[in-house]
Amino acid sequence: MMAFITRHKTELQKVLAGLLGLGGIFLLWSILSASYHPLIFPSPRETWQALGDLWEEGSLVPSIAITLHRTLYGYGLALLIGFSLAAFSRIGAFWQALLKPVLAVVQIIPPVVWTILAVIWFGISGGGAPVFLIFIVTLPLAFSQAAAGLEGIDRRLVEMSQVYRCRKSRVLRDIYLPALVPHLAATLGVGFSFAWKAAIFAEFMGSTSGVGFLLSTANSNLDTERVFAWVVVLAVLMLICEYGLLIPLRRRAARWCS
Amino acid sequence: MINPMLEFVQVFREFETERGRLAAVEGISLSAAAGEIVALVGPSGCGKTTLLNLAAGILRPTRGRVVLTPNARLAYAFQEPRLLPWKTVEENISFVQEGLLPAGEAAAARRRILEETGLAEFRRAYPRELSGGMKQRLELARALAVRPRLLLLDEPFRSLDGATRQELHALLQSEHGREGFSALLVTHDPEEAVLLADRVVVLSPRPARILKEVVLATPRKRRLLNRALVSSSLERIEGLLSSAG
Ligand SMILES: Nc1ncnc2c1ncn2[C@@H]1O[C@H](COP(=O)(O)OP(=O)(O)OP(=O)(O)O)[C@@H](O)[C@H]1O
Ligand SMILES: [Mg+2]
Repeated sequence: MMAFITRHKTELQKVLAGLLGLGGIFLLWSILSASYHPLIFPSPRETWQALGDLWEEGSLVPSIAITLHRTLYGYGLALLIGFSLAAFSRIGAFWQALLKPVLAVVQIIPPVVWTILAVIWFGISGGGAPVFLIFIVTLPLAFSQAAAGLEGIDRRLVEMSQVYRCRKSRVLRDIYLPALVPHLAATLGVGFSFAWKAAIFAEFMGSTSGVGFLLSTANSNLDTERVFAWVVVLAVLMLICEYGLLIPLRRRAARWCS
Repeated sequence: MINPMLEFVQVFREFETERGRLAAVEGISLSAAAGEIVALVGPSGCGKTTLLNLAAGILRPTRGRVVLTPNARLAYAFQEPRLLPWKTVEENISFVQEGLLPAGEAAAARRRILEETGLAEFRRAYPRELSGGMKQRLELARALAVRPRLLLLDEPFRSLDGATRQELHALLQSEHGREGFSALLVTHDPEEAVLLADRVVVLSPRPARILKEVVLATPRKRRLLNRALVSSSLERIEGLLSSAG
C-alpha cells in the first residue's frame, strides 16, 4: 500500500486536488442555495430529487442518445466535408484562395442566425435543424483542423514513396495516417465538445426532442430544479467523456506515433 | 550509346524564389548506359541534388527532357535520409520493397543487405535510435534492397569514418558486380569518384554546366587495388574543380 502510494504520489495528488475543486463547487452551491429561493437557486437535495424524477420518467437516457446521435451525425459530416475541402485546397493555390473566404463567411455569420435559418429550412419537428447547425458551426473548425493536420505531413516522405512507386493505399496508411493521428486525437476532442454544445443549443432553440428541448421545457415551466439536474448530468457526461475517452485516446495516439 | 538507362537532353531547371528566378541547372546533356556508374562532382550548391531529383522525376525540367528506360526500377538514396520515424529499420526497407519484389525475394535481399551494411543487429531499432552515420547507411541499404536498375546516390558516404567508408565502397562494388545496375553517384570527393565510377562528370559552380567528362578506362577492380593508376585522372579533376571554384 505504501509502495503504491509513493509510486503514484503525483497522480494521487492530482486526483485529490481535482476532488477538492469539485467539493468547493458543491460547497458554494449549498451556501448560495441556502440564501436564495429554490426557483432561483435550488439546493443540491432538490436537484437530486429532480434528477430522480427525470430518471423515473424515462426521458433521460433516450434524450441523451438522441442528442449524441445528432452530434455524431453533424460533426461526422463536418469532418468528412472539412477533410475533403482541406485536401482539395492542397491541390493548388487557386483552390485555396477560392475556399478560404467561403469558409470565413460561414464562420463570421453568428450561430443564432444559422439557427434561425435552420429552423426555417428544416422545421422543428425532425432532427434536421440541429444536425444542420452542428454541421455548419463545426465545419470551419473541422476544415482548419484537417488543413493543419495535412500541413504536418512530410512532403519529403511522400516524394520518397513516389520514387519507389509505393501503392497509394500503403502511402495513406503508413505516411499520411501516422502523421495525422496524433494531431487528430488532440483536436477531435475539442471539436466534439464544441459540436455537443452546439447540438444542445440547437435543440433548445428549435427542436421537439433531445436534451436541449427538455432543457427549454423545464425553463418555460420555471422548473429550475430540473434545469439544475440537467446541468449536473451534462457536467458528469463531459467529465466521463474527457477522462474516460479523450485523455486515454490522446495518450495512446502519442505512444503509437512516437 | 545504343540503349541508355537514363538520358538528359539539354536540361534546364530554374527555381522561383523571393529574389527572382534562380538557375540551378543549365543545358545539361548526359547519359548513363546500362550497368554504368557515372559520378557527378562539383562545388557545393552547384545543382547536384537538383540533377538527381530531375532523374527521379521529383522535379520536372524547365526546359529539355529527361528520359528513363520505361519500367526501369528506380532507387534513390537521398542526401538527408528520408526514413519513416514510426517504422523499424527492417520495416523501413520492406515498406519500399512491397509491390516491387515478390515476398521471398524481398526477404532474401533484405537479409543480405542488412548483414552487409552492419545493420542486422539493429533491424528492430527505430530511426531515432540510430546515429547519423547509421541512418545514412540505412538510406543506402533501402536503395540497394529493391534491386534497382537505376540507382541514384546523393553523397552516400559523406561523414563516415575512413574504415566504414571503405567497407561501403566495397559493398557498392560487390552489389554492382552482382546486380549490374546503372548509377548516378553524387560526391564532393574526387578520389571517391575516380575509384568507383566508369565516368566522372565535372560540374561548374551554379548553375550546373558540364565542364568535362573524364572516362576511367582501367577496370574498377584494379583501380581499387592500385590507386596510383587513377592519379592522373584525379589530378585533372582536382585541377578543374579548383580553377572553376
Ligand atoms: N526547391 C528549391 N527552391 C528554390 N531553390 C532551390 C530549390 N532546390 C534547390 N534550390 C537551389 O538550387 C541550387 C542548387 O541546389 P542543389 O541542392 O541542387 O545543390 P547541391 O549541388 O546538391 O548542393 P550540396 O553540395 O550542398 O548538396 C542552390 O542554390 C539551391 O538553393
Ligand atoms: Mg546536394
